[in-house]
Amino acid sequence: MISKQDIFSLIQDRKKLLFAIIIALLIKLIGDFAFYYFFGAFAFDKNIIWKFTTTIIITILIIAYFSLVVKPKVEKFDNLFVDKFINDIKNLAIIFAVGVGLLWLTPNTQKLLNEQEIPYNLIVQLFGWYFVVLSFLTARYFLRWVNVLKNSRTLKYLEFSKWAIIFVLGNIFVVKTLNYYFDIGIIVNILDTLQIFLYIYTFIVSYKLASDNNWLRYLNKSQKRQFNYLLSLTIIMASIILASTSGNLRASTDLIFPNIKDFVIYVIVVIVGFQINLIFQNRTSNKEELDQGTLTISALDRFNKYILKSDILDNTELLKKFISSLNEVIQIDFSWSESYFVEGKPSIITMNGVEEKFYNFLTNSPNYQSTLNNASNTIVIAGLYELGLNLKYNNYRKSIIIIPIFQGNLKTSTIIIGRNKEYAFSIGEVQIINTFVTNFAVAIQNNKLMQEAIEKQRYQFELNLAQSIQRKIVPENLPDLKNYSIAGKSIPANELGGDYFDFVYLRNKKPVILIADVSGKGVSAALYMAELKGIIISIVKYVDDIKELVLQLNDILVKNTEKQIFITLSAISINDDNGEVCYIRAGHTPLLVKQNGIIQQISPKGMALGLVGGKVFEENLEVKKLTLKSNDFCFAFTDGLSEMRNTENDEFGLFRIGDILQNSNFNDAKNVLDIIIEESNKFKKNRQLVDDLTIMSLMFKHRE
Amino acid sequence: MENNEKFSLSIEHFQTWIVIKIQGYLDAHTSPILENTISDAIKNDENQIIVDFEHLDYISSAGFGVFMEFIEEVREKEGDIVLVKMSDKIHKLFELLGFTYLFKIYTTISEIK
Repeated sequence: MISKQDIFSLIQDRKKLLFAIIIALLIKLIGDFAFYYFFGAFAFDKNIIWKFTTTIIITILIIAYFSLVVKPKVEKFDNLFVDKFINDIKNLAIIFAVGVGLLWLTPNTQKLLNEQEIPYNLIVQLFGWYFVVLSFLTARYFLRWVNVLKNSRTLKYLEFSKWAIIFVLGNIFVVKTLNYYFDIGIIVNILDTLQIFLYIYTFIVSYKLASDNNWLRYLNKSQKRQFNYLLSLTIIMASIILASTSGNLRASTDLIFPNIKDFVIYVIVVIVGFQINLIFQNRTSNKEELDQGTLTISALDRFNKYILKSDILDNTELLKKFISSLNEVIQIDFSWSESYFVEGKPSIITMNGVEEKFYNFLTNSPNYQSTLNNASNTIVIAGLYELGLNLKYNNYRKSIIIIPIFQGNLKTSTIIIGRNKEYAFSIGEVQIINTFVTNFAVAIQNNKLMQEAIEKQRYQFELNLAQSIQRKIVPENLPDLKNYSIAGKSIPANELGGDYFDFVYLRNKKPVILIADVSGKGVSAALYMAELKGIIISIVKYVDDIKELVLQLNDILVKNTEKQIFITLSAISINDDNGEVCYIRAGHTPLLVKQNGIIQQISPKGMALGLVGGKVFEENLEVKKLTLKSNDFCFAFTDGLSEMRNTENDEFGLFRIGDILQNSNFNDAKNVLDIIIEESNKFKKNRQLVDDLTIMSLMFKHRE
Repeated sequence: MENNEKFSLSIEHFQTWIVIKIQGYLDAHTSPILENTISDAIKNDENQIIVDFEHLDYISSAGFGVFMEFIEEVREKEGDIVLVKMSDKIHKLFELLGFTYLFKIYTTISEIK
């Protein structure tokens, strides 16, 4: 048994419906054949009940099928529509061409079959069915275009055509059948006359429907030529079919059911009316269209200039500007936009002219939410019923357009604009919106790149500033002292370094040279280094020797630095003009001293600064006194020099440094540094420095 | 990823001690790995920590900093950080910095009591 549910599921499934239509058609044809075979009659009056029933069933099935196909739904809009449209017209031309061929075949079949009635009637009835299918296919294509057009005329048109089709079908099935049983010839004549007027009016309405002055703007030249050619061809063929309404077309369709041709004519009138207007539109370049084009371009231009000039490149501001620029070109009654910056709830960032009640009503609808979430393209919603919102329960007659904005593959925001009317947006306006969207996406991308560039520039600027400040921390020129020459150089591995060298005087005017290395690298090391310089400057005025200096320094650093930060430092005080110096080492790399032409490594006890205070530190700190003779020198460095590596990953090493110092003769302290740098550059080749490198040298030269 | 290739560690136990074996390059980029491991151990109340230097190739100043960060804390909790199996070169560095005055350094684990 077939239950109600089965029928319901049948009319919900396009494929099943199509199958049912074909089965019903076969049954009808077999029945027609059986009627003739048993009763020898093909004439209308002998089997009207059979014909009526079968034709009605098939027609209902076909209507159900097409109502599924053209069911109101949210259509994706894209500029590619124009290409699809040309394709549709091409298909239509082929369908019409076959129709014309069948018209020609109709009388010839009769001759071919030697006037035998049965095969002729069956075959020609099939031709008739072809015309029925032709009209439905035509209607389907047409409704598809109408659904994309969606302008204010569309709604009126759909309402009108619903009644027009009911009238035509009623005239065919009801009135003509009644006429057979009861002679109502006058009514039939009146209705037939009315039907002619209906056709004329339909023609006018369909003609007007195509008058949207933007929708063919995106055709290029060759597309335009192709389009005109196809349109003309279809119109000519449609006219041929129309011309044979009382001839061959009628002969074939009447075998299905009398006057079915009226329906075929109706559909052809609709399509011809529509297409004739298209040909005219395609020929003339509309002034209004040009004006709107100019308006669009100038609004876009202003929008672009705004983006280029503006300093505050805030995306919220851009969205606002986007909507206001768009509003210069097309009328927007209300709008809002939401952004999805991070996961979680979208944030509403702009809102203009939206009734709160309407907004809540719409955003609470699940269909709206899913449409919004899945939107990958501009979506036109001509009326809220397209979202399944029942008009019985709401009075909102509005159209909205959902515009998703993408950055790459990521949807960053959605703009919703709307008008307080159904079917209020034209296809041309949607095309303008899409142009804006493309532009906007590019603008956002540029904006992002620009922001990154600005940030990078700002960072670089601040870094340069910090670098130049840091350069001032280490002395540019060191003083010439009697009998001594001093030189120092610091090369940071990054923009900012953690190495330090300096020259200071103690309270008793004793000159001291210092070299230090802050643990870690980069900005934090640089900050500690600046701090170190500050501390040193403030305490040298109160101490008389380097041991006291280091003890004080450590005390302050232990209290003021984080546990894991420490500083290694070497200091040499110049005690007199005769070559007596004192060396102290706080965890630093050992001092190299050349005395009497022999290099020695000097490494007195000493812990790094900032680790521990008090006794442990003090007890493990030694001062080494050295007496230099003329041409003797001290060389201090940070591990950036000894641990420097070359492209083969070999370490420069203490031994190599000692070797260079041993085997060269030096004029003064600066000469020592120059040679060390020269040799180290030769050694490391193209390899980048990974650690800061600082070197200092003190040479004693008796000048008496 | 690159850091993990440069530096890795494994954990073992020896009597009441947790032994952290470190390997590769311990520098400013990789020291957080060791830092987290030690801090996790302390959170689990494992305050007796041995760090095995046998397979350590390089240690930078930031690497030294890791030990300084925790030594006080574990000693307050009556624990310690003991360093073992150090190469001569790394030992020399510890000496230069004066870390040898702060940490107990042994050549083998069995020396620890």
